[in-house]
Amino acid sequence: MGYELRKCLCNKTVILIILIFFVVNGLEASYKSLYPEKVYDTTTTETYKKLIDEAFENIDEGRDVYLSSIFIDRFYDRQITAFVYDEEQVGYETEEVAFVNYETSAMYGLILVAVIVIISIDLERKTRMTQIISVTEKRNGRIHLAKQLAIAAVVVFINAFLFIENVIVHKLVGEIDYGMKLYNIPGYRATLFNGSILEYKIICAIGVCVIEIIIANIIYILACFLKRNIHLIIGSVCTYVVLKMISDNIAFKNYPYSLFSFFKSKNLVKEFIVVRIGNGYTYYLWIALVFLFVVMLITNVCNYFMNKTRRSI
Amino acid sequence: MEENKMPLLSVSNVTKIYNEYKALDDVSFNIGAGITALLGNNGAGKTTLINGIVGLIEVNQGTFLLNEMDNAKESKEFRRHLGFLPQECGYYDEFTALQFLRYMGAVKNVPRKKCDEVIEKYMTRLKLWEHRNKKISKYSGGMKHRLGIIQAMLNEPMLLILDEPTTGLDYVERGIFSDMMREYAKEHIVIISTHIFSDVENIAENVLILDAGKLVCNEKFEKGASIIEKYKKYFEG
Ligand SMILES: Nc1ncnc2c1ncn2[C@@H]1O[C@H](COP(=O)(O)OP(=O)(O)OP(=O)(O)O)[C@@H](O)[C@H]1O
Ligand SMILES: [Mg+2]
Repeated sequence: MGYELRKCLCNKTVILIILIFFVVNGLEASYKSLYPEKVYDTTTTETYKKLIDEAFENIDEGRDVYLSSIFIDRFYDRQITAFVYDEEQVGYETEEVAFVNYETSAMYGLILVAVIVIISIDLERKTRMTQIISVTEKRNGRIHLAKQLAIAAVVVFINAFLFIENVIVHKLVGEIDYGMKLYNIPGYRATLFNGSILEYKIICAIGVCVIEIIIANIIYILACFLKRNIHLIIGSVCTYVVLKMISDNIAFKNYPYSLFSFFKSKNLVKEFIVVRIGNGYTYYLWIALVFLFVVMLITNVCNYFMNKTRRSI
Repeated sequence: MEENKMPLLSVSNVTKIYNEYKALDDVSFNIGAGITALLGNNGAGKTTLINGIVGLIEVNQGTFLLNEMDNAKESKEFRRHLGFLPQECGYYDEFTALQFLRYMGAVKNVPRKKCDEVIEKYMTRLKLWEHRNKKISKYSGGMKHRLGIIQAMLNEPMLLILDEPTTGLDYVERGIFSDMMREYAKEHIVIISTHIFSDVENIAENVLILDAGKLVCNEKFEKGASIIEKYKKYFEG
């Protein structure tokens, strides 16, 4: 079951990518504090805080405000709780949602899973097993199910690791007492959630896991229909973007990414790219991912033309 | 019940066009149990015909019926009775031979117990049983080929189609393979496409010859005769 997945997980490149992900995840965990107040870079924090306060004042007084995307990006560790754009005030998020969003902002696991799914499907095509399998009675029916289960397992596994790493790093660097109630964190005073920080983190992690399983399987299904790697890459990136937009729309009633306003505003698109898809390090990871596929694509195209010339000779 | 009925494959008016090139041109024939040799020069359309029968490609025109089952309309039924070795077969290299065959058994919907019996029977026969726990990546070309043959026979299909099954087999293996096919063909249809005439001369009961997509010969073959002498005209350019 999930043979390609297993093979893929033993692939050197994939192992390297996984390691990079763990390192980046650890770095990011140490850089992002769980406590909004405990940002280590105090000077910038104060400056940002001042700007934010000003922005809030302006909102309160009904004036128009614009916050740049980079600025929001820097403040992604939850000191910003309002999103404000050129002309209109577009949305607020509650403390719980802010926390969930903090937890889900990166979704490294998903990127990793997308890479694994895509590489394993590529591997499968290279084995040319499809020929003999497609003439059997069951065809791919059984295999699909097995693979989807395997993908789910990989998602859970990777997320569990990233989660544990995250918790440990936060504990070491941020000196967090996980037993503390969530409302003890200054930034989350108004929360209605009555459990400890760790409990809330676990709930978030499970939520992330479920979302990622769904997205990964959608990518897998897409991948089965799309025969070319380039379509696969575009398809999976689009899936990710669209689903992220939809989930954000569900999470925030007034969110900037309501589809209509999204396509109306350049800034929203920019912000979406930088903050949502490319949150901090994730941005570079996406670049790396795209780079990887460009390499794959180029090799494929070269192969294609080489085969073609060979045939014509 | 169905198993005991004598099988019949009828191919009627099959045409396949690749970019205006007729790879198959109005091919029709009926064949029953026994070994049928499918012959023809390179590019004559053998693989195309086989791919059409097994349903890997769609033909532009024509039908394939196996005991009245249409490979397009009742394709699942059709595939249940089908065994196929492609010209170039792919394997999961990291699997052991046994794992691979069990995997194929599972997708062919063969009950596990029966599957294991069949695997043991044919692996012993083709001298692979002692290598059953070896990874396929460590198999030689000929061993892989034999594994491909076993894979095709796992569900003991009514219609067994082998596209160049003997390439890479040594002299002894060819003998074993021929005996196995002769036995199997008593109750099943076996189609063997090959360029190595000596492999089928002693076992073939029918001969089909394709030439540039046309079926130019479809007749009973007298076992032991020499194909090249009898059908020389079809194989000289
Ligand atoms: N996918 C394809 N696209 C275009 N033409 C094809 C394709 N597959 C086969 N052909 C053409 O159809 C013709 C028949 O090919 P086929 O593979 O059936 O020959 P063959 O009899 O199996 O030859 P060989 O003995 O070399 O295996 C050839 O001229 C080939 O170039
Ligand atoms: Mg061929």
